[in-house]
Amino acid sequence: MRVRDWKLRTKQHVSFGLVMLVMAAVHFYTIHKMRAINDELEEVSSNWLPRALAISDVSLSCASLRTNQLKHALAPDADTRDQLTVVSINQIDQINGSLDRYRELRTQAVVQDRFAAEERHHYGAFDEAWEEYQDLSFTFYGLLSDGRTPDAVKLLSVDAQHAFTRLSASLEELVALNQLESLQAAGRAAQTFHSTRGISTLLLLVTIGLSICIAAFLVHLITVPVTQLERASGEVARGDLNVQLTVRGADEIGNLARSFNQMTGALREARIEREQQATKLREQNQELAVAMRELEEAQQQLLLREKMASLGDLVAGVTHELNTPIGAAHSAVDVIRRCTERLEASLQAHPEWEDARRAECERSIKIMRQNLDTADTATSRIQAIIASLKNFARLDEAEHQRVDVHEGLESTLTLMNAEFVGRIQIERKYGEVPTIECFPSQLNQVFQIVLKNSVAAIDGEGHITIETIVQDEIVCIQIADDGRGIEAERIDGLFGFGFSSAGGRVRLTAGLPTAYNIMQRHGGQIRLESEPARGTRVFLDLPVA
Amino acid sequence: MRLPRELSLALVTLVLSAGLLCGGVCAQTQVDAALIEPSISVAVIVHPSVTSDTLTRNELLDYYTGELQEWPDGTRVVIKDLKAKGPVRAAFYEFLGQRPSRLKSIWLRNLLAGEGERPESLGDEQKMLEVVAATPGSIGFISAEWVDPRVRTIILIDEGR
Repeated sequence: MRVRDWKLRTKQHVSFGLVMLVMAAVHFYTIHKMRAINDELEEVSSNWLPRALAISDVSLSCASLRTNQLKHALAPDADTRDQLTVVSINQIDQINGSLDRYRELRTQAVVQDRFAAEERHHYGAFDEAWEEYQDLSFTFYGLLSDGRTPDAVKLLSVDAQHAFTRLSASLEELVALNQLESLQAAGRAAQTFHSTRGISTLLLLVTIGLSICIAAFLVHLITVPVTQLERASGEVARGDLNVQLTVRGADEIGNLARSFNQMTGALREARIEREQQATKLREQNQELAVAMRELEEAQQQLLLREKMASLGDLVAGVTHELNTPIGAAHSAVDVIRRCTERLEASLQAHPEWEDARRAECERSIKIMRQNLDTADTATSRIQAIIASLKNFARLDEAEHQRVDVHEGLESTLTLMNAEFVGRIQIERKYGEVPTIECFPSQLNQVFQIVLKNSVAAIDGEGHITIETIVQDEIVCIQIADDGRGIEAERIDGLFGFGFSSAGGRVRLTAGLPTAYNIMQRHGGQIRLESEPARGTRVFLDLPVA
Repeated sequence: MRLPRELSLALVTLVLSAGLLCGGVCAQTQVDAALIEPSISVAVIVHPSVTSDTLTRNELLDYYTGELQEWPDGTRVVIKDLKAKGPVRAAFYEFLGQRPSRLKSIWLRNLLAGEGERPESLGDEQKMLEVVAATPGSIGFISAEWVDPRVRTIILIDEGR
């Protein structure tokens, strides 16, 4: 397991443990060194200094003994000699006591080998001198007891002087050595103390540095990912779901980053799904709208077709019913006219009839002739209307044949030429169009109706564009004008029967409904687009087969 | 993996201890050789009239410091010192556990206190042998090789053993 994967708590514990360890090491090092210094100083105070003191005592006692011996030699009486002897014994005891103390301290010394050879040498020299001095003392006391006082004093001042000098020198060396040792020990202690202080301070600084580093590391370990997380959260809040955190290790922070990434991933997927659903919904709505429009159109077409069918039936019935009485009336008018003519002829053939009656007859005949004209005109007009209605109701069947629509268009244009001349320009955009199955005269009638409407829509000069194209087995003929155009609210009612007030007289308008009927009969359809003041474009779609 | 590591550890320990042991033995042998080299045998001799057969180190010290001045049978102890400084004298005082200067201090003190005389200090071992042989109740020391039937060896100080 890598360090990175440790839990934060573990990392903290390990880090602080490390710091504590280092601090403990510093502590123990310092204590150990201080103990060493303490030991050294204790050695100095409890061993070396007392040793030097003991040697000094020895030196002092030796000097006193020598003085005492001189006094002994020069003592005036026996009592004084006895007293001095007691003092000498005490001094010898003191010397031996001091020497014992010195030797004991020497064996107790913890540091045995330092200066040991030198000390042993000096001590050996002292021992030798001390032995010699004692030998001389024996001789001295022997001479005194023999009463040879001058010889004794001479011995003391010459031979014993030499021995004593060597003895003192050795003792001084020993004292100096012990002092040196003490000084060196103190120096060593001081040095150890200084170095310990230095190293302790250094270690302490290192510990502080380490603590700071570890603290910084821990803070870094937490703050950096948290800052990243904060920034990433902000971006997510602003809607950027593509933000990803870097996953470092398997600790809490790493897990957090992983969870965050999973969360953004889930959000991203959810958003994509939502957008897809929204798009689908929009498409469905559009399809629904299109279907709705188509449905409405189909409904309108259906309504219109039913209306046309019932209207056709009605018209067929009415024309049929009217045709007979009108024919009878027309025949009656004809008969009456012929009778009137015969009456007129017979009147002229008989001039003998009295004038008064003649004038009255002639006036009656004149009125009758006038009324006959009126009746004739009326019946003719009724017959024309009936013919028109019959035509609408397809009561006259022409033969079904395959023709070129361009020919039909051209013949219609030729027939209507008089209406265009000098006012309207015709523009032809004929495409490659196949022949179609149709009733040519009916189709021509449609062309005529549409073109007449176009002409009527153009005030003054204008253009009519005729365009033919084939698309998906459908021949599409577009007839466009740049006339007045039609208001949007009127377009829906155009294919129904209506009345026009054009030309000051109210007239039945059956043109566009007739055209519609014919187109339906051919399996095609008629549509128109119009914009007021810009013109109208009529689409005639006819199937090829 | 665990077994070989432990085995190797044990092996290393074994080799190390063997090496230490060998080194220690060699060092010990050298020390022994060094000790044996300057060895010398010193005989503490008494006049044949002295009845005691054995003598401990403390008794010897007591006689030499003047604490005891008579043999167990009541005869006076006459101690003798060797003047010539050398290995025999050194070995003897080593055995006594006192330096010659200290004994001399004791003798000086005894002399001043009137508790005893300073022992006779003889020039060499030959002289010591003759004096001890000639003085009843006397005790002295010479190199073991000098001992002859005129004296009796009461302690043999053999540093080699």
